[in-house]
Amino acid sequence: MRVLSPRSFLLCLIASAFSYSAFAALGGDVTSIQADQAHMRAQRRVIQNAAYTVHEMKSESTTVVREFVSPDGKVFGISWRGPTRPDLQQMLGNYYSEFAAARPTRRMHGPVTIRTQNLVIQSGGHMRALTGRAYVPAMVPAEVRLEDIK
Amino acid sequence: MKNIFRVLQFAALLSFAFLLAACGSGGSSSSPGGFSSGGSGSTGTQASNNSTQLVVDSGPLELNNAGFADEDVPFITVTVCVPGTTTCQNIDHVEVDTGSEGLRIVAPALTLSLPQQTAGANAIAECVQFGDLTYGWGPVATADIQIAGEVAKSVPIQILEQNFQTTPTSCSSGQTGGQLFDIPSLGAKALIGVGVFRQDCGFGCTTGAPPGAYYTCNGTNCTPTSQSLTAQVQNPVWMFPTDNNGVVMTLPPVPDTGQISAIGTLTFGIGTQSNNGLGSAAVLPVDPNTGNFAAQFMGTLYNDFNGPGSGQGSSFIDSGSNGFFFLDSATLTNQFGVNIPDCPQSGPNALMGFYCPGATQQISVDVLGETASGTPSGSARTITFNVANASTLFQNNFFAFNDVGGENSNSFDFGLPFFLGKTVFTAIEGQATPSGNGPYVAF
Repeated sequence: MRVLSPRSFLLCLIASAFSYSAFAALGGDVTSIQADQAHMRAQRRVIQNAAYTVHEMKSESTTVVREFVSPDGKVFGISWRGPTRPDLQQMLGNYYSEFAAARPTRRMHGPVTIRTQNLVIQSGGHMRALTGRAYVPAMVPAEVRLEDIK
Repeated sequence: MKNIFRVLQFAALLSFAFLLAACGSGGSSSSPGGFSSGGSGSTGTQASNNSTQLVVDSGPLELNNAGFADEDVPFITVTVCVPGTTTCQNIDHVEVDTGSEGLRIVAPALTLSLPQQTAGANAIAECVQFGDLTYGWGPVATADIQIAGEVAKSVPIQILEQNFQTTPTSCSSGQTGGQLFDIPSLGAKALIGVGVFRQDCGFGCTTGAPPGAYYTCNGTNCTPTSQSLTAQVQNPVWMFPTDNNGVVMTLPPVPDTGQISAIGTLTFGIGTQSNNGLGSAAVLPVDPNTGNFAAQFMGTLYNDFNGPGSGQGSSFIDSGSNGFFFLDSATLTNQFGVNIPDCPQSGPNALMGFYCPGATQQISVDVLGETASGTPSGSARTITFNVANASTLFQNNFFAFNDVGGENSNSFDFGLPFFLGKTVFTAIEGQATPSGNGPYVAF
């Protein structure tokens, strides 16, 4: 993975159509969100909260993906809701192999929660309304409630 | 899921019961024109037979023979025909799913050759993703679908194949639950989605070319494409000539320790015949965008509304979920003071995804309707259910349980256990019923 130099939040306020090569989102720098946005061909808006920033992207299929960014500019969580799941290989970046290794060992007929050494992934919902989230517990700022990652 | 061969000891017995049950429903004809007249409520005018047996059992023999069986999965038998012909096939153990729309048959269970949907010289295929991180892929085909006396003609359906052309990366990437393409992977021979929508995708697929939905295949190269509403895979119920505004699922109560199987009915239409009236059932309008409603648990709201002071979760009734899936252990403990631990993740009693409380816990949650903006509407209705130790319950060879639950962050998913001992109505969008147009659920 190449590393982009940190950019200011101001730049992130501008919905960018620029295409970046694949950079990890989860666990990555805030600039990696632009790669996800390009991958999703999505529109983006930024919501500033007290303890974190949310970058919300809406894809062509109307799926909404949110990336939760800590004050030090790191993506500590993502969530999705809509008719299709985002490409988790893209969204989880370096955490994907850890996630893939922990794939469900049984056939599920319902939502899935996967906990690995560094990652929690929860996926559920139903047709037209799939939902889910992934976060790195060690990176979640102390002031953030886990139930706010949604 | 039981990974046991002991299932085989009684699978044959269950299958025999299923066959008997199917006979009792008036049978299914091998001809699409073979209406069996006179349902339970036929008086005066000739009513169509609008009801078929609904069975919660160990699933198809092919699944059992592979050493597997799943709890709390409801099945019916469906007759599929080459459109406009009497060349038909009965398919048993088709999973009934009110959480999706459309018929999807795994290729190994299909003996018919059904016409492929095309656009010009290209074959049309579809990617479908489920909440459990699984995905399906395969061609869109056309079939006549007969269930009881109801026939839907020339219905776009999906065939789930392992190697149709080249599976697009945009369909499979990151879907670590794996591909659904045969009976062991699906846990059924087919899935019939009879939820609140007319089509599986809707307007989200009519413009643009969203990945992860419909694809056009030039040879082996399949790329995302838009798909008109009429060409999309359809909820077959709204294509029936009559009894086409929704479905009614009725299942008997079972003991808290479970039951080997449960046999009820799937009835088509709401308020169209004497056997499908709403009676005293309360109607819960669902969000026309998502099919979700609002759930309020100990003061916290779980609905679609994306704004301050609300939950941005999602709550729904789904016969295709095999438990009461709600919140998670940490939230239940830390936020609500309710102690419901997960089942062990390793060891002899390991069971992923379910709760294993030491003693059975009772949960009460209020549900409300939801508008298109995701805000709650109408008056609340309380749902009370039990959560017992799933690992203990699943150790016997029973398949119908009313008290198993599991994790589902920020959401309440009322799965098949909710249906046991109830009559549950699912009304389709834009279809008129005596209590107004769908989409809604009622119970």
